[in-house]
Amino acid sequence: MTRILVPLAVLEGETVSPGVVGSLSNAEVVLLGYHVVPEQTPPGQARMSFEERAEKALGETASSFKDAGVAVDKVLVFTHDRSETVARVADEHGCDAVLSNQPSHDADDILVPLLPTDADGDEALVETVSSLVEGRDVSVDVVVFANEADDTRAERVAGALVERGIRSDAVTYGSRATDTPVISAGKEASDHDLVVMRNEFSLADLVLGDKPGRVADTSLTPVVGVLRRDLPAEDI
Amino acid sequence: MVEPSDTNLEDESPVTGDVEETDEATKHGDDVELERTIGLTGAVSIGVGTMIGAGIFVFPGIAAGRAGPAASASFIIGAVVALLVALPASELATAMPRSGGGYYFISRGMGTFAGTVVGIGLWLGLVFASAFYLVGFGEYLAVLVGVESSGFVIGSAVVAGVVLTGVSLTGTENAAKIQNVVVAVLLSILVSFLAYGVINAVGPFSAGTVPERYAPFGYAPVLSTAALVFTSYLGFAQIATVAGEIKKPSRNLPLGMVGSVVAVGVMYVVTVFVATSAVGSETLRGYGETAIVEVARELLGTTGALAVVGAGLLATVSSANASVLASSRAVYALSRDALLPRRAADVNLRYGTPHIALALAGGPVVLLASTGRVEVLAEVASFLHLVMYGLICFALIALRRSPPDWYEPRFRTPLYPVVPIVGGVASFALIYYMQTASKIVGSLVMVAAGGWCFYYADDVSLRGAV
Repeated sequence: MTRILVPLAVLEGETVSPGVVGSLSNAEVVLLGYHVVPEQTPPGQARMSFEERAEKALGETASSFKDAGVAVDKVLVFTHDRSETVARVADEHGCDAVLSNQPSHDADDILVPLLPTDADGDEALVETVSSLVEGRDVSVDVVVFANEADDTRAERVAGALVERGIRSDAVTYGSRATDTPVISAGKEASDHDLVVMRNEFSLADLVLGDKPGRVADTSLTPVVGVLRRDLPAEDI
Repeated sequence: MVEPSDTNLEDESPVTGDVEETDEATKHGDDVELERTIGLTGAVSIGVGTMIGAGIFVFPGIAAGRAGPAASASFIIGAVVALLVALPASELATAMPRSGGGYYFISRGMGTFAGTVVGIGLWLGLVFASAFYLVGFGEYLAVLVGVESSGFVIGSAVVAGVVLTGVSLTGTENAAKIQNVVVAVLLSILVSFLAYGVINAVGPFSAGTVPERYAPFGYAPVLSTAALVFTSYLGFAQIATVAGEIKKPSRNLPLGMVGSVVAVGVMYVVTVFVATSAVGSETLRGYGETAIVEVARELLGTTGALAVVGAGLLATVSSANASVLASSRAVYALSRDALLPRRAADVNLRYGTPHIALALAGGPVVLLASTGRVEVLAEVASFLHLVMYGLICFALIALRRSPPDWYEPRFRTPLYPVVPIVGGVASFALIYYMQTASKIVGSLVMVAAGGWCFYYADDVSLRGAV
């Protein structure tokens, strides 16, 4: 089973929408409520003031997962740095992927974008997608975004998904020629209910932010960013 | 590692609860965690950034005027005392890596009364220190605009204090990054300036040094000067006030505290050497707080002087800012333990800042800065810190003699018990050499703190006290 970290700015009123709950119904969810405080505020001091309110809001979101039959673990963190906290909690809880939250109403239609920066080792991605989709009536579009349109990689990934038991008429694949793969993936994603993609680090992320986050911001669609696991890089 | 808890649900006495410390977070119970986000660079930057403003940019002139070239010995004495305290403080900090620093160690090692007096002393000691740095800032601004008036100095100190408090109230999330950059810029200016100064004094093309006896006024002023300039070593304990936010505390706390004392100690001694070699202590005395600017002018002309004025403005303001923030953390630590009203620790949701604690720090800073009394402000700050330092050493001895079961420091003070005994005695001895006015003000603050403890907190008992 896939374990997914769902970080929520819990005191800013961030919650998850029904589409997200539905999309993650096969997963184990680690719900991370966080609150970022400025440097002059010790996190422990923020805890004294806000713990009760934050626990309450976090508990409400946890119930909406539980009501849908999803296993939920929750943790509340006061921090100076969101990304450090997300990375640490994902690691400590053994999460396979991190959600970049956006609202979505339905859970029927998944985009799996393949970017040039994560060219080898799509195993973990296939693993996550198939486990999220297993037993549900969902369509999956696998699309390569690269300088030149070439379906080979998309076809391989789509084939691997079918091998894992997804109905072949639910999986489509294709490719788009683009100079800006992340932006194009974001545009493509806006008419889907969920994106599942890999979160491979590249230098540009230092300035622009991680790719799943950028796709989520462009498309206003929730994105599951699959973390790199030290799996042997094998062809699929 | 399970340690005494620091939670109190109502504002009565602290309640117990299990807490787990890891390298990256503090975990309370099952699911509430506090992230540690400050690395070694951040820790050293807090220490150095707090200290360097005073030792280089305010004291060399005053110190050389009092003790002659032997002022370098005063700075060495200060560094040795600071190290003797930094080692025990490091051990305690690795055993109790929590916000509040010295207050936390002493309240857990020696009990509520000593803890309260030290905690209030730490809060106000940092207030005095910050006011002192702000007056230093005013002096540099006066040099920059070319005004010689104490009214201008005090006025700009007060305005700077109001602005600093306002900025920290409304919250800039990048404060720590700015602080790191400021310290890096400062260090590069200073290292180039000092290197040039040393080469100029002793190198092959030396212009010669001002001939002078090492200790023209004898050795007694060396000790009283050490007591005065000790303010320039107060910053290492500020690292312990953010101990709860430091990553890998068992490694970074000792390295940060000892490392920053050694780093600034070396720079202070070199600064005094360069200054007295270049212009002589009699001249330095005449220049007062901004003497180092005149040294730079002598060695490097107007450009050098301007660079040092810029560095002085940055250094004093960063020291003042770091002290206000540390002071607000002391208020938080006291309030967390129900020794101050719980409201004092309130955080507002809009800016995410502890407005009451910051106002309790920044308000009195502005008030004290308006007195403009550099030496008394510095000495009272040192007085209150030295009492805490002395007690840190004795708290270490108390905890080592009958260690509670949670006492598992990762760093152990070398040469125990010599280091804490000498460190403790030396801390109290330095107080003896201060001006009478400073001793009176310092004692009054402590008596008031003791009174507050009886009035407000006599029913509080802090878990982990031996």
